[in-house]
Amino acid sequence: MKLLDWLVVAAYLIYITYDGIRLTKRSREVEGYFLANRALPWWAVGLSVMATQLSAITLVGTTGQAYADGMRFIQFYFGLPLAMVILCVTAVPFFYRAKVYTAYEYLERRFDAKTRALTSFFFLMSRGLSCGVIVAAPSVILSIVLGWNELTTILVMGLSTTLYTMFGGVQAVTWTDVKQMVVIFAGIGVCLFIIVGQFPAEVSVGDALRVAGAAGRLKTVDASFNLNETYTLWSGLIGGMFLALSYFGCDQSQVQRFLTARSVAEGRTSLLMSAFVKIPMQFFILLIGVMVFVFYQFQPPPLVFNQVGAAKVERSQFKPDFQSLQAAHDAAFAARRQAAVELAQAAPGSETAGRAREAYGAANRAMAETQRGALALAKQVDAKLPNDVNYVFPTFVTRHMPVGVVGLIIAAIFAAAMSSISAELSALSTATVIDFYRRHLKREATDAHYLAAAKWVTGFWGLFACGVAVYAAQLGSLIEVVNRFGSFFYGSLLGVFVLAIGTKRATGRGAFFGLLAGMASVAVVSNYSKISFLWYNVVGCAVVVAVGMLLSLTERPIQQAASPDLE
Amino acid sequence: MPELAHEPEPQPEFRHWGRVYAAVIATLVAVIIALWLFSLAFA
Repeated sequence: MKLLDWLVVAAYLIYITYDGIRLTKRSREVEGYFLANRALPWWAVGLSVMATQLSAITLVGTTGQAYADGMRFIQFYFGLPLAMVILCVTAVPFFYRAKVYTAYEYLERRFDAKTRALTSFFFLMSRGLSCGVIVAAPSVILSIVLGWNELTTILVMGLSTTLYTMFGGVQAVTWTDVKQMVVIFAGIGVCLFIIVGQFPAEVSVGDALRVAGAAGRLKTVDASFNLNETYTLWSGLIGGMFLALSYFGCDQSQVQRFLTARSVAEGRTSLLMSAFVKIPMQFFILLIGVMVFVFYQFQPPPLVFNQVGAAKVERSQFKPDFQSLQAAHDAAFAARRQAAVELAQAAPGSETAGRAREAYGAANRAMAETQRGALALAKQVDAKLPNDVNYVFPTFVTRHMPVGVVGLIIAAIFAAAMSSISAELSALSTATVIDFYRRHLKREATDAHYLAAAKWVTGFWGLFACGVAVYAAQLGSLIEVVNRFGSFFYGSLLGVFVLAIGTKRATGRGAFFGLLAGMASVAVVSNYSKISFLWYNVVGCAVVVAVGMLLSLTERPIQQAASPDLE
Repeated sequence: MPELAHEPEPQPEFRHWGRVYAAVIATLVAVIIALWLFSLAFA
């Protein structure tokens, strides 16, 4: 990174922290701090919904995934518009008119205090830990790219976000999200434009797409019905829909977004806007990964993208093996480059194109083989090395992007991480203060007292996330544990809300034990079957509804007076 | 803050959400078909 890049990153970090803190004056009471007095416009809420969902892991990980595996991941988002329509009909008007601060607060009105406490507790555990992971994952990668140690990256990212969220509340979260989305959109657009400009003069965009297609990188729709395959049309439409329903309808970090809208109509519009923009945006993020893949058809890619990992192998007893793999890699690259040029220049469908395609496929497989061998060596040297695909995009950016643009894209990665962290901190604080502190510990206090408590609690969760991030950065397996815990919880939580909103007969006992049964069933399915994780939410939700209804039928129905006045 | 001379007119409630939802789903179908054709074009 050059001086100009550092200046761009520093300007971004200073401006966004200042901008968040200056919104402190708009949060002088609890409703302003947690819900922005329900006065935000739909477009700001919609951008905040997208910014919360788009973490740095999404930006860096999915470009790397497209580089290695193509664009199949786009199917993951097919269920999103369906889920948004269902939420616009159900959750948005229910939560908004119930005038709740948290989604779990509604469960006490519908069921009982223990169901609210259990769901809110699981949310705090799941989100508190995952917030640490959201700080840790990009920190590990950025620290290598920027040359900082991991602790510095964690503190820069975690503490600056905690600072503006703590003082500015949800106003700061939303308005910084809007600006962060602008930085992210600019980063994506500029990046795509510059990659295409770096192809050899004789290779057009159409040629590049043909080469990517020949390598299987442009397969976007897989209509096969296979429960063990992660990304198919059906897992995206059904599993993705259940995941989106759980995330946008039951996770406080997203529910809080649409509760800040001016009206039910604006809340609905914000969700539909994010559904409309999400798929094209994800398409372009994946296309960047594919274009980086095409770029490396004409420029030699590193054998291992994680340079720290490669250096460790070079210093180990595996150095001779690594060097022979490097030689094989270089030879395979020369053959693949030749085949890629021939394929790009051949008339589509011609005999020459067919031959070039075969030669290209063989060379591509040979290169993939050498890379697999090198990564296996790196894993033998250090088993905790993160997945190499996560280094593809940052390595490409720092090596091949022009001065200034590198800074913009690193700022976009920071923006993606910080926008997710801030929304989660705000949601964690809201659930802690509203569902536990105000409900169980101090029921009668002034608004100023709860506002001060909310700020301290936000600060606590920020420090907690940084603390988890320090350990998560060292223990790669912890990230998986946190993600698995989240997947056990999400579908089951959705089941509780289906019982609450979709049925009149369900009781608190049914919902409470149904939730526990749902989480247990997902734990069993994940441990004893090969079903892809996208289906866990379907399983969890179905078990909660079935067990919850069976238990509810064994006791008296809840009196109508216990239901919230939602009309 | 200046006082208003009269109460603001209440905004009429939007009554065509059903059509909006149908348009969202139709767009999703169109996007899936477009992506499938995109794959076929460069396969």
